[in-house]
Amino acid sequence: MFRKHKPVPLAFMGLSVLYFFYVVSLGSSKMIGDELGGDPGGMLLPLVLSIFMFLASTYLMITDTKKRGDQTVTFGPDERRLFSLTFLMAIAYVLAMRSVGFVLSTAVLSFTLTFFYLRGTVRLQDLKAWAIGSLLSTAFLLALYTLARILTRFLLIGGRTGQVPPWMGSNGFVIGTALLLVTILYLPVAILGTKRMKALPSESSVRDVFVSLLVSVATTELLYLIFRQLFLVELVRGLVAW
Amino acid sequence: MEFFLEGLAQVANVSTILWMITGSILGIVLGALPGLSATMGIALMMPISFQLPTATGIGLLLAVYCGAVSGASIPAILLGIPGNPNAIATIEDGLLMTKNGQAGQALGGATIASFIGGIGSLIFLVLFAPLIARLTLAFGPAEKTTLALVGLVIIASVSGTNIWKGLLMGAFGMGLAFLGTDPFSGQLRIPFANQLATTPLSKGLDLTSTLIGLFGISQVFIELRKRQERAQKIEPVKIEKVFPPLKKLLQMWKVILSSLGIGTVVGAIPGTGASIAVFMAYNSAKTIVDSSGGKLEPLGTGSLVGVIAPEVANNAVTGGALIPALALGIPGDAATAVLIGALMIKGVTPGFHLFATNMPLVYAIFITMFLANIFMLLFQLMGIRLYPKILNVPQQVLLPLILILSFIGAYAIAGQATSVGIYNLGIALVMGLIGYALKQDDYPIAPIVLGLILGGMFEENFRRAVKLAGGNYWVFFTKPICLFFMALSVLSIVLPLLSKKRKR
Repeated sequence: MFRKHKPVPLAFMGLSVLYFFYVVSLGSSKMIGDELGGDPGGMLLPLVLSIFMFLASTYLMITDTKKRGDQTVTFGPDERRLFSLTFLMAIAYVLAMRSVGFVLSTAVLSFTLTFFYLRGTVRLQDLKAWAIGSLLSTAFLLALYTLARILTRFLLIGGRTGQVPPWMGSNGFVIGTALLLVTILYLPVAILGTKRMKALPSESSVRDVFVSLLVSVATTELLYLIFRQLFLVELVRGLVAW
Repeated sequence: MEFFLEGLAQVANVSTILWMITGSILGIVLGALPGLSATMGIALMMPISFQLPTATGIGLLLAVYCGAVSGASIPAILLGIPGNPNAIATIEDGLLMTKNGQAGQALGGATIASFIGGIGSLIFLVLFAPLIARLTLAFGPAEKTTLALVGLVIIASVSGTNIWKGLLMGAFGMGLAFLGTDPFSGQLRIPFANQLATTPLSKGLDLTSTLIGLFGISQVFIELRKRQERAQKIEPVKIEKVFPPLKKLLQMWKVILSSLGIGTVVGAIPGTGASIAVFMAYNSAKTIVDSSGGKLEPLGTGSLVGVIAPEVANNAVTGGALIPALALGIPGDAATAVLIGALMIKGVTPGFHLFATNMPLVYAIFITMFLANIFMLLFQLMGIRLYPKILNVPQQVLLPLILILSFIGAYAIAGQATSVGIYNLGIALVMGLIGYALKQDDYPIAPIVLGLILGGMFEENFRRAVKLAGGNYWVFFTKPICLFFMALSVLSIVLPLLSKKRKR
């Protein structure tokens, strides 16, 4: 029955009906101090909106139908798999953030998506490379993160207790030094690895693991430095409690 | 003068300059990458701007905005693919110039034209925004209600191909704005209110997370679907001379002025935007070239005029769109809608109140807009040989980055409140999926943003106006300003419908 119809107007018709009944069930709340009357109440506008949405979506359902020869973007099996992977990983990221923490969940999400996007599809035979790569990438990231944290703590506490000059304990200096340390440790791996990878064929999974590792580690560490250390956003620690 | 100096003091610091430079380069890169828009760039940078002082944060966003609008010309000229719809009209002559071995001049000319457009429209912004804002002094709740309505209806009726889709999206956005707590009675207006009363959802949807979802996350899914189309490798282009001859540019003064006027005026009309202005400027340039007696190269033959005209116009839109945005709180396009959102998150409400109470901030915005154009000119010219290489950045690397940046942005806006951050992640993801489904069916996203931003203003003023009139709904049809806005609303629905009928 609905084969000719597009899903969005149908969804909005359903939504507007639900919205209508929801608004009616809420009732109209009046302004505090409206003893003299005149306040149209909190129900009127949402009610008008739900009716308008129903009418507009009904009109669109009738007029905006699928036509023969409609050009749609191809959604091949590889794209479908990557799409599903992204969708599932995004949900997993949101759900796991609180328990796993920012560093680990971001590293795994970033590595997984970059690796499979580079492979061009999701295949069983790539799972081993993905698993090893995930572990390597997480280990490398944790090493950088831990060293940067040790340096950060040393400078912040040292600045306060007088072990180092106070200016060395300032936020700007600490971030700059941490960034420098991470860059010094990251660059040799990136440069040497890139040279070695050039010898491998372009479709090699090792090459994709290496690129994904670099992207994942750099993204996570940089975001951590910007948001946690520069802007003092409370990123969830989760499993990485130090 | 005192306000100007206070505004300057807010901007003249190392932090603002560094963030603006970062924003400018990021904007150019984002604009150059096909599929990534200025609006998405601004939405992704909102969480960072939120952490910065207001003037610095707005400066960062304006730098991204100006950079992205200008950067879109790079792939248009080199590949014939616009970075975003703002550069569609640049393709014809720009690509021909590249084929004729004049890629450098086309890119250089486009950058200079963007700068002229940006600075020219800024002058209009400085002159007219305070005047228009002063007019709103006469606005009471009834006038403000109809003003919000006209802004919403205009953007809904002109964005997208189907007016009903636009209106439905506007209504959806307003519906989202109504979620949360009733502003007058404090009653909860969310489904499962008992369960969600203690959650951050009781305050309504977080604007930043919603915008990040609608513009950032949804685009990742869209690009994923188009993956096969984007698999082309970019051939290296030889770029020699970058600056077009000054004499040639001076000969185009009429084209430049007309494009500047068109861009600014079109930008100032809510809902129109650069994609309309560029074609109008291109057509106007055609007329000027035809009457130049052969002095100017004809358009469509790889002429520099065909690059200059649309590029002046699309950057002139940036200043034009800010006129109604700052003066009335009605954004000119989706990008300025997100900018207004950024201001509102900072507790700054555009309109006369802003001009009356926070003039130094207004000047700071003008100054950052000026700097944004200067940085855009400098960094686009400096990187003219480098930016073409950016077009080779594989999407496989870029898309995960955008997704993660979207998530961290939505999370970070909560600052120290981690549980709010987790809710924001969920909101961004859900809005991303909704945005994806809507974009797939050609539903415009801009009206949702407008609905979200104007919904609260509309409801509050509507209820106040009716209450003040003693429950009389005719108040919206008896005041002259209201009547004018109501007529404008009706016209903006009826005229597109009539013109569609006539075309049939």
